[in-house]
Amino acid sequence: MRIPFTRRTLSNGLDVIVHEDHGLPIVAVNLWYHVGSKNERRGRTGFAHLFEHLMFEGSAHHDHGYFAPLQRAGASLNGSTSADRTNYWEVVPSGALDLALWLESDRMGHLLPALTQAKFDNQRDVVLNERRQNYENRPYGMAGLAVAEALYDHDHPYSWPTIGSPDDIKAASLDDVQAFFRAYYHPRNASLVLAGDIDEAHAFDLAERYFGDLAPGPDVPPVQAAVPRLAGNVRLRLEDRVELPRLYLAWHSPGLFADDDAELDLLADVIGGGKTARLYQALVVEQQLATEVTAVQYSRELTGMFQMVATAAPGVSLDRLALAIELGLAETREQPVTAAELTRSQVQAEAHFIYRLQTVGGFSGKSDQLNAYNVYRGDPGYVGEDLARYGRASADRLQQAAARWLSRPHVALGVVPMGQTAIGLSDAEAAVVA
Amino acid sequence: MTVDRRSLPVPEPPPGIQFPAVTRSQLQPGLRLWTVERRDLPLVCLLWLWHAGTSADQADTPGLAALTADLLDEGTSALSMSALHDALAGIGGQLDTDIGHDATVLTVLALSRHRERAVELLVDMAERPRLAPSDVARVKGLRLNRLRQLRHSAGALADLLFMRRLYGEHPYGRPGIGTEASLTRFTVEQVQAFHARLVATPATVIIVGDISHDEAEALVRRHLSTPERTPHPSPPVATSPTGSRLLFVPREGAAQSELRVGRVAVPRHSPAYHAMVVTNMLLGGAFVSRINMKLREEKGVTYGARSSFQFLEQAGPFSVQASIQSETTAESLRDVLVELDALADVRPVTADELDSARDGLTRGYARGFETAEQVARAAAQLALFDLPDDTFDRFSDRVSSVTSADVTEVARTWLRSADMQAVVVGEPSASLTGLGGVGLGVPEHRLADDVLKG
Repeated sequence: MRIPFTRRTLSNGLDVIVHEDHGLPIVAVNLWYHVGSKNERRGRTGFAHLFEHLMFEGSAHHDHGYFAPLQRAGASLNGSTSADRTNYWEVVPSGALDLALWLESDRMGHLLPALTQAKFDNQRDVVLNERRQNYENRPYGMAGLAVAEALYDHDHPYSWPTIGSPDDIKAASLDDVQAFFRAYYHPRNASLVLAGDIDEAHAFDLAERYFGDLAPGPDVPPVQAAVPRLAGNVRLRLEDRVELPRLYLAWHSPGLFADDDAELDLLADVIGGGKTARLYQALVVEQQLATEVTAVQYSRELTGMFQMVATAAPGVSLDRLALAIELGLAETREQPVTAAELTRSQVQAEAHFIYRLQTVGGFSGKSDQLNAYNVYRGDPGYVGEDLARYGRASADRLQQAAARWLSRPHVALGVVPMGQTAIGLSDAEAAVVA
Repeated sequence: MTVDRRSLPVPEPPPGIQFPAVTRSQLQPGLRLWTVERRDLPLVCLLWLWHAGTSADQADTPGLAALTADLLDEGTSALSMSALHDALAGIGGQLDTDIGHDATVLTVLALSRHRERAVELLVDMAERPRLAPSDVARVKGLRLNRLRQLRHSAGALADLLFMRRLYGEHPYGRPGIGTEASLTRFTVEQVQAFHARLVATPATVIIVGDISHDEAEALVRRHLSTPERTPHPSPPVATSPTGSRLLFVPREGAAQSELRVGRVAVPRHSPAYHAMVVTNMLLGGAFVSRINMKLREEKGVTYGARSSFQFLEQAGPFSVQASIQSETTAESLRDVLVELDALADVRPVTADELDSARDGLTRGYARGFETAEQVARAAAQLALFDLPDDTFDRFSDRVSSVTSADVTEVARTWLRSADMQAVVVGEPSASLTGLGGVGLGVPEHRLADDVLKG
């Protein structure tokens, strides 16, 4: 497995990676800034994401919306912010590549002169509405926030959500935005991929032409955080407008590409991936205690989280559901998974890698992958090794990973319908959600 | 060489696109195989399309088609549910079951080295699902739970009530998921009988990827049963029933209002299809469209607002959808109605808007055919609506020839506020304020159970 590429670093520090794929007359522009909500601090959360919105509101030499000229050129475009990074992408017809690079470079180099209080106020309102739509008004929408708050120390950068707290978002000022831009939005903290129907030499020429004269910007020190630990199990309760109670179980786990990361990813698939998974078979099909159950190894730059989520069947208490899950988990700690289970999950992993090669752009297309490997590993060509980790996993190593990580203290959060705490976890405290 | 930042680079127009060549065979009366060979990656996308969807439900059996579709992967005559999913996982299989008003679609994405097994599993699920009593009972229970959960999902509830308001008793107005009453009632025999009818419905099998047509044909033929296939009757012509034009569903403590505004519009075969696609693009189909620019970029009252025409066998809905800050509900609804009327009248489409919408659609068209699944689903549109082979190749020319007069005509005919109906799911005090004054009459209250209980 490989995604062929060439990487060069411009004199101002911008990494440029080019991948040719002439399947369709389109080119993907994919730009990562190595900044996310983990670069924020308590009391000032939601900033990286709010800033992403402002990147679409015009820059010094094109002080109009970012979308209009690109959509007209036939582009699709978007951006997203996570705890670890912020990405921006356009997929354009090959003939519109200059336009996309002109606009991307203008907002990288010259955003601030175009930024006004009015734009800022408008996007702050939009973000507050995004939060209402995707978290507050969505069933179980606040559960993830409550889990993170409990799993990490108060000052750990993964303890707050990327969307931020409403109070922090409201308190953000234009000065904050300007300081944030100067600290993080510059060539030295960015990585650019051009992938698709383009000649490599021409691609590097264009990158140099549009980005080469931008100022490099200051050093961005890596975010430091202590290895998170829980002193003991935490049991929490959250009431929500939902029909059925749902249980969230979360453990600290290894970070992205660390030892045991791939093993826990495979284990998550064996116990919680699809209808063939152990816990689906046991809880949904045989015992009918749950209506759905999933497991995921969610690995990020600083550290990971292994999470299981199960929705209770009507009349089933979360205590009973938690007990049934614990029995299933104990099995994975005490016995290796079967050879058939392991092979099946490995094939699924391989297939997932192959299916991701189908698109040059967008979220998780080839350009996004090259940037992820470059930013997180310093090696855009890491895809082969990434997949190889899954091939090397063994049933013994899965068992060891389960024993090592999933016997430690964890967070259990029960979400229950308003007023029905009796069917929630016993001895649970009310969850704190900012 | 430095950049001239005084003006934006002018893009060169992209080449026209050619939809990949589709090889076609008639396997049996009523059963076609269409393939597109692509050898770039070691994968195949298999798609089984039945020309029948939730509209095949009867008035007293809403949800039967969807329940049956959901049971297709619960085991086959040869494999138990868990053995089937073991087998699917073992070929790298990603299975999707989709049911719409007019179609039921099974899709399997698989590694091409396992293509033989993939075809076998697909045909088995389509033609020989197990439909065992215990599985039917379990899946019925799971679907009932999902239906009850919809009560708390403001967006899904708004969609269901909106379609019911627009279509009334017409099949498009029924909740495809069913009702509590209907789901509770269904028997194994009903499911088996529905499947027997489904399997005798005309179907198109579409295979895209690392496989030749001849091999695909041989593999599909190997596993086919040979039922006689006869079409389902088309759904009746759709018109909206009379009644209150503004429905309000209270949701205590809701953080926002879910808003739907629209009407019954036109079928896929409408001669105005391309004019409507262009009109929607500038009205609410893209970020820079009028409605989103108004509600999000000017007023900041939503994360995003959009509009769409849904093109179906019979007249599908036009709708505007947004999740709105509660205290601005009435104002936002009024803004939407003003934008709809303005396009027909005081602010007709500008030359710049028209160019932008047409170019956005045509220049970006190639992106829609990148993955095997995208190509398979595009081909499925041709099959479902019996569209000419060159539909996609001619799309850009047809769109480019849409004029401002065409857009104005669409707006005058289809987008008058006087013809609109609306549904709001929101917080009762804040969202209701002023809602009676927007011009759609007094809001009439509805409850989730009005559509979900049955």
